[in-house]
Amino acid sequence: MSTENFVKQRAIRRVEAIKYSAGRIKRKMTTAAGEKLKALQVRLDEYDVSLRALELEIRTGKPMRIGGTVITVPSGEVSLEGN
Amino acid sequence: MAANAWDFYNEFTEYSMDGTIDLDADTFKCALFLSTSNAATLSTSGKAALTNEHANANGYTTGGVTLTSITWNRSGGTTTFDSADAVWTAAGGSITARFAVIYDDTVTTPVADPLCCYSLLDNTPADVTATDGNNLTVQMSASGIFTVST
Repeated sequence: MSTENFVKQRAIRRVEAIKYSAGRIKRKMTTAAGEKLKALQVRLDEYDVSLRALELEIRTGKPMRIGGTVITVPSGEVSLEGN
Repeated sequence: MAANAWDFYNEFTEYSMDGTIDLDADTFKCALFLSTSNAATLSTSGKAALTNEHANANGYTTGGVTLTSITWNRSGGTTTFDSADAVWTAAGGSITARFAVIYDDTVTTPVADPLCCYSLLDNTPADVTATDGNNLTVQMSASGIFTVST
């Protein structure tokens, strides 16, 4: 192999190696980004639930709690009656 | 699961009208009682006369929780008594109850801790439960705990 061809072959191998590394980095980045995206989605869902609870709280003037057991007790009535 | 509206103890009509119970100044508590309790007997007088309160365990403290953000506001011929919700967080086991009772924790005479009202928390009737780590919330109606109207 001539010196010129040897250099070419070495350059090609280096480019292939860089491409392979870039692919690996890209795959890793994609996985990491995907995980980050999933985590963000979970947080977004939580915020959405909180936001809906807040909207309900503002509308009813009552604090809302998510999860657990919530028993809403209807209002009682005491009336004053004359005879 | 639907709760019954607050129902009033006999003594409440007297003590709330003669000034013994001061609705906009006293401390009120909400306590939980078991299915075996006499909480639904309206002639019961004073918190001490109520039987079978929830055990002092699993996140529940005997006597119940103090009602916060109490309001006593009139609009026209209707006055509304309200508070923030009563919340317990079950810890180390479940909190299970049949009745919630609201009583005056300030008054000592002519009877200590006069009873105001109670609710059957599930009118099936059945117990309500919050499992370990979860909240049991007695949520007050958007219309208030009760109204007095002419």
